[in-house]
Amino acid sequence: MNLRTNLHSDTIKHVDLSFFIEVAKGLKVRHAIEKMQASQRKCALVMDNGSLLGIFTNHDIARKVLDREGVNDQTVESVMTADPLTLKADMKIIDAIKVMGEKPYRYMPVINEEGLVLGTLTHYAVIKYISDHFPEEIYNLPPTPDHFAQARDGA
Amino acid sequence: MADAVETPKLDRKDFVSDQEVRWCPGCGDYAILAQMQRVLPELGIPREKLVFVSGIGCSSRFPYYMNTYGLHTIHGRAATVATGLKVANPDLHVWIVTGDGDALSIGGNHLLHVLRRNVNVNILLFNNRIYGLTKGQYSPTSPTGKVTKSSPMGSVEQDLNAISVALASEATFVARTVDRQTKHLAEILKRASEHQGTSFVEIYQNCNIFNDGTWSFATEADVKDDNTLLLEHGQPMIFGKEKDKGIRLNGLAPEVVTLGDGVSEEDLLKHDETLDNPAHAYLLSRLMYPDFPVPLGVFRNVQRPVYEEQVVAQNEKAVEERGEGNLHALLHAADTWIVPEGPDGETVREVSEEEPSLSDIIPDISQEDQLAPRTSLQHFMYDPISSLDLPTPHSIPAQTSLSEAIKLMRDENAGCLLVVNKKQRLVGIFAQGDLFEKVAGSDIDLQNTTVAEMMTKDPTVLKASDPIGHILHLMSLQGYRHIPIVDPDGRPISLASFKVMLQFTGGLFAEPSVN
Repeated sequence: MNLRTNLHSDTIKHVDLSFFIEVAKGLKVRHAIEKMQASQRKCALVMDNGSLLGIFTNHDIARKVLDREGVNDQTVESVMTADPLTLKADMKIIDAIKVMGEKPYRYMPVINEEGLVLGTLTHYAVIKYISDHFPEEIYNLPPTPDHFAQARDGA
Repeated sequence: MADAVETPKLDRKDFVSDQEVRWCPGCGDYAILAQMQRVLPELGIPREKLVFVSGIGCSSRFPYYMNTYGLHTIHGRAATVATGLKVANPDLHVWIVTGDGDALSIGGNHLLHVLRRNVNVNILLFNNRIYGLTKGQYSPTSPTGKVTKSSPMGSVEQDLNAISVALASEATFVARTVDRQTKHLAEILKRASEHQGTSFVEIYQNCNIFNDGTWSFATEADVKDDNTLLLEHGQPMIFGKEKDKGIRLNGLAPEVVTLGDGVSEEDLLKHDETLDNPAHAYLLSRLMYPDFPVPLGVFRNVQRPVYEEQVVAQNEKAVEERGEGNLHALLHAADTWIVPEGPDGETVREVSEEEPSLSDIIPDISQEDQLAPRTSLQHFMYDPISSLDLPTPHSIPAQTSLSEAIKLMRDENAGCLLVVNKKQRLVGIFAQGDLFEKVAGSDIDLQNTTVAEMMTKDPTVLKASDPIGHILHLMSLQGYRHIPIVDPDGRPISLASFKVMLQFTGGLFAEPSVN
């Protein structure tokens, strides 16, 4: 199991793309936020009859909604990022990491060959993918770094 | 309750005890501990209602590391002690932590009976297919032919399949998961906790010292999807990295088929965990590597009356009909007699020589059993955080208003602000996630509310000397997007984020190969 090889051969469809919800065009911002909070998803894809119109995330909430008057009652299209950058499902993970490092987006919709949305690539999912390669060094750690034993227990 | 007090919301740290964890570095037990500490706050059970009961073995040290009640009992008898505990205190949530030797060999009989009685406890069997605490003898789950310190020419014994044993013992909830599949593990722990009756969970756990890689077929990223089958209730049994293989029944025998070429999803065996007849679950338990993918998930989940509820009901009925009993009267009701003292009186056992020294009992692991050589990438995980070039965080005082904080985040393009006191010590973290969870959609007055009221107080931090692996540990297991790095006085010096960690990884692995 070699992370380097896998990053260069696995595609982003091998990463967990499930961290998003879909909302329909015309929904009020207030209701979109409620749906996102209820499902604990910080990313909503704004859809119109199966096609992707835009993306609305907690980043947009912090920047365009919270301290602005009356935005809550506007439609989600008015604050979403329209025509967001999408990634193709056969993109190699290493290339997606490069895009994530360069672009300011935390969430990027992933589309298949037919242009249908498969899911959303998130920073978290890629971090998890990387960590899965180092279970001993990452998962099997004590609760805090100074909780380590100096000697193994037992006879 | 007449004077109900609102229970404080607990988080992971409330379940971390102050005990030094004495498992070997890199042990799979740590991953299970981390998931338990992550899942318990979500279950909303008060700490004083939780008890972890264990037998003997490495896994059985678990109760020390949970900040709950716990009992480290005698070998193989965790199930027995837990049964008594649960009958006497039916309102407790009891977890049994055991291993392949403790549960299936020394305590084999006790395991059968807790399962058939359906006591409402949760059993976690850490299966590493070896006796680790005693340094590497073959266990009841070690495969035939396994060479160990006690089977130098290979074990000649047939090994036990823990899931098959549980099903044969009439268990009502039977599941299997893997230490390294953290999300799956968390989900199974939650489902086990919710089940009424005995929940039995086998966890494939890696002993990196005495049986390293015993489950690698089910854990290594490039092969695990082809060698494991994720059971989902109501779903056809599809597996494989490309999700192109399935399990079909040919008469009574299962077979692996490839989808396409005349085989469709309808032809595949569908999973039903609620079947009263355990034959389906048993058939699944016999799918074993290398001929089949090993199933992970819930094999069986059925309802049957719970043991302690019936015992308590019988007791109450007896008291109602016959009144409170009298133990003294009961003991003296039948024939009793006194055994006379022997002619020689008591014998005194001689105490032998001197006690062994601590170093005889606890060997220094740095001297022996050298770990396998680490790759340069693994080294990176052990390197100190100070070797990363992390950005300087934005710090704000606790009395900053929400509107100022939101503006600062926008102007500085910061996803997160660190909240400090007058001595510049970290007291909280205020991130876009807090805005999303606590502020968005509410009527909070942004001008007159301070970040101190909305921040995450006392956040988890790391020191610059801690290994880099801990950053990824907290990010991937706890989902923390930002982790402040603080100096010994608790003053923030830098900030690790998802994005920065991805940039480092991208830089490290940009080339497809290294020379």
